[in-house]
Amino acid sequence: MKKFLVVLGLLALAAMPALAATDNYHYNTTMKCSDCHSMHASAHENLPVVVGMGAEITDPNGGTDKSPMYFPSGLAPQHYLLKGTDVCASCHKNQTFAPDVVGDNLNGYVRSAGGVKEAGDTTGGGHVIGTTTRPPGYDATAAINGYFAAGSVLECYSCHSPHGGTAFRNLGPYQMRSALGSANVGKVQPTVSKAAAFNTATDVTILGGDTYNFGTPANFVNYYGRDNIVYANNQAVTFNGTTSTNRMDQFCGVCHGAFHGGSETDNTTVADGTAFVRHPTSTKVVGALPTTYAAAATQAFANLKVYQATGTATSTTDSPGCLTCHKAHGNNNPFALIYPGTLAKDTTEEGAGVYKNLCKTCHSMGGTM
Amino acid sequence: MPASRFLYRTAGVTSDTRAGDCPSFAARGGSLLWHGLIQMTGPHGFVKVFVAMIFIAAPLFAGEWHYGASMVCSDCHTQHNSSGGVPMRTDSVAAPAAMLLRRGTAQELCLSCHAGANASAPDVIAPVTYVSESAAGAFPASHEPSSMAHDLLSATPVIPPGGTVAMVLQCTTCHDPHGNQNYRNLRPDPTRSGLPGVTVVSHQGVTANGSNPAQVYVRDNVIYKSGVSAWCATCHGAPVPGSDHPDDTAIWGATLADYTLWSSSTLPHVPVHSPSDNVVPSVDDRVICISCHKAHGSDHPAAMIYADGETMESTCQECHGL
Repeated sequence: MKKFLVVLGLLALAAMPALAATDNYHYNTTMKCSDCHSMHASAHENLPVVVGMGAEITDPNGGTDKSPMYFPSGLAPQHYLLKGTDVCASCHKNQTFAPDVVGDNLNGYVRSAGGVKEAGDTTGGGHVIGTTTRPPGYDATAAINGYFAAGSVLECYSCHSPHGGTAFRNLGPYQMRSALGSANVGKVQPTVSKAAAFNTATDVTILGGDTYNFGTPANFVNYYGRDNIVYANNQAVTFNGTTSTNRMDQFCGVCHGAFHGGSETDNTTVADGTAFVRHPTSTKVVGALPTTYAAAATQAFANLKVYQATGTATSTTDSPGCLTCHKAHGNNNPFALIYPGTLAKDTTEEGAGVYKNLCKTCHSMGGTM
Repeated sequence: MPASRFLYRTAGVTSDTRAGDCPSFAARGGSLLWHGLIQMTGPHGFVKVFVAMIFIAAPLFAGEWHYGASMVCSDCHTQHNSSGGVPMRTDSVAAPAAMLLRRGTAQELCLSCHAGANASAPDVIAPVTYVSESAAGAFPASHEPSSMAHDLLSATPVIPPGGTVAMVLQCTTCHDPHGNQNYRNLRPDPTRSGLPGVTVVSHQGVTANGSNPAQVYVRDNVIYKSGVSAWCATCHGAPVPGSDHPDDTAIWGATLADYTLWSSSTLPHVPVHSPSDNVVPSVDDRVICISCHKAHGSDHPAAMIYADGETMESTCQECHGL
């Protein structure tokens, strides 16, 4: 019996990483209803608001948990029984126990997505939380229209499912989770694997595996750091009339449809279909351009995230995508563009170069970088 | 052979690739340049070579507007044709254009700045407003076929006089829109038919800074060093001895030209090659195509330059006392 218990214990330990590897945070085992919701808008006799790491608490489902206990305190009850007016920001803005995704990074690493902007923040560019402005490139004529109907407000959950999911970063156009239909959901939600090595079978690989530990800021880089995120270019999906080789682009295209062009025949008004009217995303191989830089752009190329065919970024096989040029959340450059440096690995989310470096990494005309 | 000529010729072997598209242009030119200098000076001449390169590199690597630091991608291209819900095309047309251009065609795009609307850009459509006479002259405003200028956007391909390749000319036929290291961003082979590329070298007293066309694109600012006639010949064919006026030929010592007349002319001197110095008139001056013709066009037949502004004879008589 004793041996059995030991074996059982070992099995349980072995199973934990496997379980974790399949889940995003806020999903399955890490989806804590009480992180965001309160049943009665009152607890502990309206204790003062505490934002941040609480002491270890006993999870009613067993075990202990570190949770940012956000107690309501005299606040009016919120819709959906939420614990605050902005429960996402309560953990994800300027906190050390959870990824900081608003503005500059408090936790000191180069994030893959950068930081979103808030109203009034005129530095740089990116998605502005709370904006009612329709997305650039919004295509009201697209098959999937009405996603951002007049009066809509951009929120975190516009892109990330608050209840999690299996897609990369819980991505999913949450507000249209029903309207999109099951046939289309799978086309716009990037698949992910959390493996030690690049997985060509999913849109995204998190190279750091599932070593993310909640509340351990030094560990965030493994999961959210730029260098541990690799995009694949062999996941051909057609949606809204455009073919891309990575669902990240299709996801962006839900809102930015008119900016989206997988090939020269997509969204083109050129009769013979030979010339781009949108910059192509994900289907065109960088090295197929008539002339590309070799040595001069090697470092700049390495500072950008292309959609790769193999575990090593290679211009002869890899393609540009939305996230090659833009930070998904934002940064301090216009339009959340990345200006790659040419001399060393970029240590900022903006990049160490100038804007032309971005274009000239692939397009060599016009002299040296 | 003067060092400068050797270097320019060395750079001129840079194949028929579009220089603006070929980053190896500079690298190859530089490499050949280096080997050439080593050969000229011997293994112990490093210091001399270094000093020579400092002085000589300027015309070779100078580049023009729309190249290097002044090449601004977004001047001409947009990625998504929208910013703040407003089309990015400079003519405000909503439909995106081919090659992500900010105008419907490359020609429209060039002329959106170079037809007088932008005071900071040299105007190439008559009447030129930024200066009384530009170095290259101007195209007629009517865009109609003319014997007085290169014919832009002809209805059908036209074989240039003296040439063999039928072409429909537009700005980008001759000028690389992404710039290169040639004078005025001239394409080394404007025919793009695989001819050996030609390097055109000049010395400019004032270079473009984005707001000084009246100081840059005028005759007095430019001393042509080499390559002009050879470049014209890529389309127009080389002059035939005995049939055509001698070309790239020294005025000094010429049988039928009078250097004394040339050097003492009180009229503005027509452009010439001055390979060995930056002085015109001087004994190294050589008559070239644009000694008689404006590159873009003029108000006169065959785009002729009238040295006195009124008569063709005044041009002839700068060299010929007949």
